[in-house]
Amino acid sequence: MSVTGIEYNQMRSASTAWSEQADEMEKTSKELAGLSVSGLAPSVQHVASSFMEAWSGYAHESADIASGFADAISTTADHINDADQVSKSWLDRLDGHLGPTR
Amino acid sequence: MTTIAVPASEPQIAELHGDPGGAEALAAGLYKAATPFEAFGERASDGRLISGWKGYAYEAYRDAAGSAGPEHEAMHQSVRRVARAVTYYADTLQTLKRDRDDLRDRKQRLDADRTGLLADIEAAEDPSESAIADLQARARDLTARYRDLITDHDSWCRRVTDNEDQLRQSFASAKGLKGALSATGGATQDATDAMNRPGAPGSGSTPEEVKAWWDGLSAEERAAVTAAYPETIGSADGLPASARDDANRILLDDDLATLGDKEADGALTADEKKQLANARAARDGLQRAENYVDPTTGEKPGGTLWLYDPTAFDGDGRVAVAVGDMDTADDVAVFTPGIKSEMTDTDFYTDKMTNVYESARYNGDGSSVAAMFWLGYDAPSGPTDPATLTEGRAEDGGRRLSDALDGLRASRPDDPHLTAIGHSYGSTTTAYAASEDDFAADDVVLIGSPGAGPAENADELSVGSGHVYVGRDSRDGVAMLGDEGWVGKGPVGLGTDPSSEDFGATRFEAEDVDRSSLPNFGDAHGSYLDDDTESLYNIGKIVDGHGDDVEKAEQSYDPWYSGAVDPEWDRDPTANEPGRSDTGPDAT
Repeated sequence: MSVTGIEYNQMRSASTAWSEQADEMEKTSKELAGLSVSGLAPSVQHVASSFMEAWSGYAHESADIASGFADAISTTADHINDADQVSKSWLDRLDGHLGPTR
Repeated sequence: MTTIAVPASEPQIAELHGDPGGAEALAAGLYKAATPFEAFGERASDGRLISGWKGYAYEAYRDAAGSAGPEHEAMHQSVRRVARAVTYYADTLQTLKRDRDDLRDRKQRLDADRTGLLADIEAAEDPSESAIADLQARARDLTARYRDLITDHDSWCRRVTDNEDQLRQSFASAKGLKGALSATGGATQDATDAMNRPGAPGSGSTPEEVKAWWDGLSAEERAAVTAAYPETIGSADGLPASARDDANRILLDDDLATLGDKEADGALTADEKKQLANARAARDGLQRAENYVDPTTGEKPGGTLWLYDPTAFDGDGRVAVAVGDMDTADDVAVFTPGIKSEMTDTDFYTDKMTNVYESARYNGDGSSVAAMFWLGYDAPSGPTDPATLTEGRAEDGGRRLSDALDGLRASRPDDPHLTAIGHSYGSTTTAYAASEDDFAADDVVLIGSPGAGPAENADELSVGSGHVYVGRDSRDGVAMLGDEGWVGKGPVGLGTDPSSEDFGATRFEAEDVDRSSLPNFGDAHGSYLDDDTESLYNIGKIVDGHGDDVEKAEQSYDPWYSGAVDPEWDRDPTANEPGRSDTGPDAT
């Protein structure tokens, strides 16, 4: 690793976007679970219902993944920011002067 | 004792389960559900790069997002495929419902006849030989009709079962996680197997090979590939128009539902706005074609969405909508428009196709007709588009038009009379197509032409000069751009004026009673397909296969010692004149 660094606002923005994506996937999960299959012939309804149930679950899982991304980015940004603040405090104590003012 | 075998009243018409409206609502819900999976996939793939974040932590995030992206894109396609399968199911259910009503009506008529026969037998006291023979004949006829009904009912029941089976398989194939993430999630085994057979469209097959492939599929396989691969089926040259139409309607429904939802959420991108506008234009044109009533029969000849690709050519789109039955019509016309034409013009041009259809029928010999607006090429966007001044788009469009007509010809088991009509820049495009050796049209019509592109005379078009017809309004400024004599006009036109003497085509009357005193680029150029015009009358004759009967006009010429001369300039035009410019029944 030769380069490290962050742009804090960009990471915040990415985290927010993933958070919104998670909300969208959760909403989709609920909508899929609520879709009516009554317009289909009875011979198709069972598999259609199973499909909706399975995909409602996939959407929920996707929401979790998106949420995970959002949290991870946000937490990473916080960690790096915290570490930077700690380093700053430590570096603030450095004295670069020569002579009596030192 | 005489026996008269009266058939039993059968079959019992089976119930049809399912509701097309409810199925369509389910499809709409699934289209909506597919969109967030797509957004997830795009965010994961495109958003992996977070500006300014570098280091080990970033690499770990990038790897995780990198695997989530393709998986969600696959899930998006799987849900979409299932949604399209539901759309196809709903469309088929609607057809089955209509067909069931027909079967029920037939059964009721047969039962009424049967009751009448039984009553007549009951009432017959000591009938004569001839009366007995008559009753026996009626019984035999009734038996045959009941037998036909049973056969048709059995066939209908199979279609019902197939429709339900296909949808069940589609749901099943995308239900498990493995199917959901696969490249074929939502596609049935029938569909994937069929698409892997030789001759399948999209594999470089010729239209004839595609036709043979389609002919070799069972009804279930056809339904399966249509529902699972509508993009491929909808634009496959060589397939019957009805098959393309089924597939393209699925794509249209998908776009209207998916993009309509996004619009409601305020989430449309600029490209998607254009795509939705194109979809709505195709829908409007198709509805116009479907609602059109043939005034000579009082019947609706129907509409076909022969081509649907709303994102082609940087969003200008590709589309073809036909009035009439493209699979059975004796006479088929394909119209190619000129500059500025975009998919959003579909309704306008479909209206013109109803005019062409009507003219060909009204003054025709009774043959059936279909007229199609074809925008399968990238027409220049306007007079200031540099592409307008060159023939590149026309040349490319000509190849596309030629392929389309090859496909149309190959799709038909018979040999329909085909007419290619090109307007303005579309006439140059049509001339390019017709300059190919094996151009599939029988007749070529060039109207408002700025030049015939590669052909310096009509004999260079593969249909032969006897089958090249040209309409030019003497005030049409665009049609004056082509060269009318050996002197030429420089780079303003796109080749030889096909209405000129040098070109040697048949020029027909195409003057407009509303023409102005001066040449112009407006009405004079845009009225060739208007009702009750000389031009539309003559085009109808040609489409109907009677080009010899057009009202001929003298060709223009350009002597070296003066400017170009158009003998039609001083002739008084006609409108709505029987046998000359009357193209349909007058409105009452």
